[in-house]
Amino acid sequence: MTRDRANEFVGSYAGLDKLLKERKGSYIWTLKDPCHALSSAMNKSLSNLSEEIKFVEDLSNHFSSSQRQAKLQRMQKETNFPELSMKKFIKTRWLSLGLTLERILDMWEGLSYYMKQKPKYAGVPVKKYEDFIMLFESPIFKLGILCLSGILHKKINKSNVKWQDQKLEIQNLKPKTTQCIKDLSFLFIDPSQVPQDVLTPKALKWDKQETIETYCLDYDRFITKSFQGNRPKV
Amino acid sequence: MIDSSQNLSREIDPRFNDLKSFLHEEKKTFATEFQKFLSKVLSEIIFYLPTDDTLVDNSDFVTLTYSLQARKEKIYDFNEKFQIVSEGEIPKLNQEINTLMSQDFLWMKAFCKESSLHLWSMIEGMSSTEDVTLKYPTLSKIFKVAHCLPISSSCIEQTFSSLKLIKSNIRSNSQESTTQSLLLIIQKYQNKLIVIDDDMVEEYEAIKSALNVRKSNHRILTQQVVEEAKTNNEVQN
Repeated sequence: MTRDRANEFVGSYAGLDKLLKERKGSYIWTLKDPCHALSSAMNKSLSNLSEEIKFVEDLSNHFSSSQRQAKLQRMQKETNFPELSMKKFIKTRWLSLGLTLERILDMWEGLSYYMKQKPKYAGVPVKKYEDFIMLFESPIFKLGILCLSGILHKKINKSNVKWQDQKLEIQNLKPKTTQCIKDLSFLFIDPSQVPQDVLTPKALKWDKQETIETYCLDYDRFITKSFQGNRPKV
Repeated sequence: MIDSSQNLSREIDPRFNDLKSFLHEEKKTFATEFQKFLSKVLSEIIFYLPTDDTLVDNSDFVTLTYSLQARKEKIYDFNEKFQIVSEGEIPKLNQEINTLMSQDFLWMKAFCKESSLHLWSMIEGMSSTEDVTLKYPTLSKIFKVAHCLPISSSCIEQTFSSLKLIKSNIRSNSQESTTQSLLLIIQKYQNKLIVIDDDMVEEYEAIKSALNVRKSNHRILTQQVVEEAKTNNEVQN
């Protein structure tokens, strides 16, 4: 049986897992669903990047009105920017954030032009536009969005597609998992430092401040830094 | 020591080479923020994914790559969990594994690439003969169970969402067999185009004309019945 981590399944008093195990003994085997695991892992860790997420939410709220969308499209036509519309970011859809970010990056110049024009609408103060302009003009913020969209769209969505494949057989599950984790860890760690067995990081302490400009972290310390105090309970 | 912008530009986008031109402070905030984020993602993924499942570790005996002893241990562990083969049959199972190992199936492996399901059906020779008696009766029971284990619940959830397309408000009382076959069509052609060829068009036309004939017959029949009733009424009057 494969299941996600909903309380109905994992609950310690009346969860389905427990009830089945009581009844049939050893014949029941349960597996955490990898696709759900990916999306819940992402949702949990996105709380670290509150600024970027707030930006995306504000932007998609702003363009929820069709009047504003039409205005944006008119401007894109006038200025020869690519004519695209926003993709909606929905929290319950698996990893839709990656696609939304990709689209925002494609429309970056058009959007910043729109914000500079400051079209007048009821309920949108000028300060809101100024906040947007500040973010749109900061190159480091753009790189941040680029990094996030790369991680989501190129790495995580890719492995999610692999796990949703119906031809996937049970012996491929573990190699695919390790491959996914390795792919992610290559982003910020020197490839020679990533160990063969990535699934069991040793419990090392994160002792000294790294020199950020040229850092080369070793894998165990990289992982265990975030483990301290905030590892979720089973 | 390696600059992380190299990693990022290699793995994600060449635009990350610009990172070098920023101020030290900016670089520092960027790096710490995303470093924290990524390490959190990795630790959460390691926690959430089924990484410590012994059954997943054991069930890779289906690839038939390990040495004899290791494979036997894995198969016994697997059997212990699900109790597929009773204890009396274990010597028989042992013998079957031995005979299987004496075979050479390297060419089979090369032929079916990664699919162990395909490999096993080739070993059993199921595709060529219609004979029901199997070469390895006890071992094939275990392999069948191993191949049946679900890996993710995504395909089931995909079926639910495609069921939403088939059963709508207007078309809610279709037969079970119809729904089932429509779902199977969706499953099969999920990522493929459905090509409509001339044969299919002809078949469709034939079915449609047959239906039309039935409908018109029905109409004629009902008209006859109404007329008969009318004449009967007149006669009675």
